[in-house]
Amino acid sequence: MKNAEIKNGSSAAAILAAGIGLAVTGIMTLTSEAIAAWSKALTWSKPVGALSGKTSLGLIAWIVGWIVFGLLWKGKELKLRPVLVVSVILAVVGLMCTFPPFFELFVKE
Amino acid sequence: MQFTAREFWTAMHGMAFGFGFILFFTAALALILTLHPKLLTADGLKRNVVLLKISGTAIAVLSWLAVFIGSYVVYPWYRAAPPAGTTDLGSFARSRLLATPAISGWHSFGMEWKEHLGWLVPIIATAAVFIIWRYGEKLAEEGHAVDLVRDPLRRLRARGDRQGARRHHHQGSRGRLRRKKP
Repeated sequence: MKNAEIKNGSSAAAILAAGIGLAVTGIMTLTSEAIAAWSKALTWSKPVGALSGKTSLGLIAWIVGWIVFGLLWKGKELKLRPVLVVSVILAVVGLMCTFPPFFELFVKE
Repeated sequence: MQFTAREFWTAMHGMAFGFGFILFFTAALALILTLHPKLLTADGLKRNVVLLKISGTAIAVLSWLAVFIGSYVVYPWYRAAPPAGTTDLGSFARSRLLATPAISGWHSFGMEWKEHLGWLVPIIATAAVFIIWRYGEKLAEEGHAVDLVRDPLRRLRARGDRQGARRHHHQGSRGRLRRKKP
């Protein structure tokens, strides 16, 4: 059996959705450090603090992204390279924005 | 030996889920790097993929358990603010770290990084497990699981070799030119 028999659309959706989840978690982290009111709004659980909102929004973006792209690309064969490149860029955004020396540059004292 | 509730959940978070994650991650990495038709018999390939599915699923499940227990059970104890006038900060880890500048980096860098980075792991692990289950043995047919890592490294090395050869050639021709001068 050849790989061509399994269309890569669903896998591409899983990869891109993971990138979206990472980037949104990162952006939420950075913005909550920069904007005090936003940090307060992200406190969905008082004992956990803003971490609860940041990560929950990241998870929601990941799940919604997976559903949307999963439906759009189901049964399709895509060029994987652009999807991988975009996903890696999104992942780097997520990693960078959750790295304390970076997000602390945006902290409002 | 007895555990308090805090000790129990902290041990579950770090030693059961966290350490279990590292063990299965190591197994999955070894399985992926040997997932190539040239390295395995047909039966070996089937067994390799079954083990990869098991270890991949374990990675995803353990990472979800680690972040949820870590964030919603253990972390609130860590970040709890001590009541006013508290002098013994033994039960308030975050405040205890921040009270001493020499060790405050364990919170401001270590813990701050860990609490965010930890949430990225299960997302990546779940996507990886989805792909492992979807492709199964076909992951090995063209060796592309390994090639995803190996090919960019090969290209980088080839580019380095070409640049090195060009530099060497360039220096060589300059040397010959110099030697021609009286």
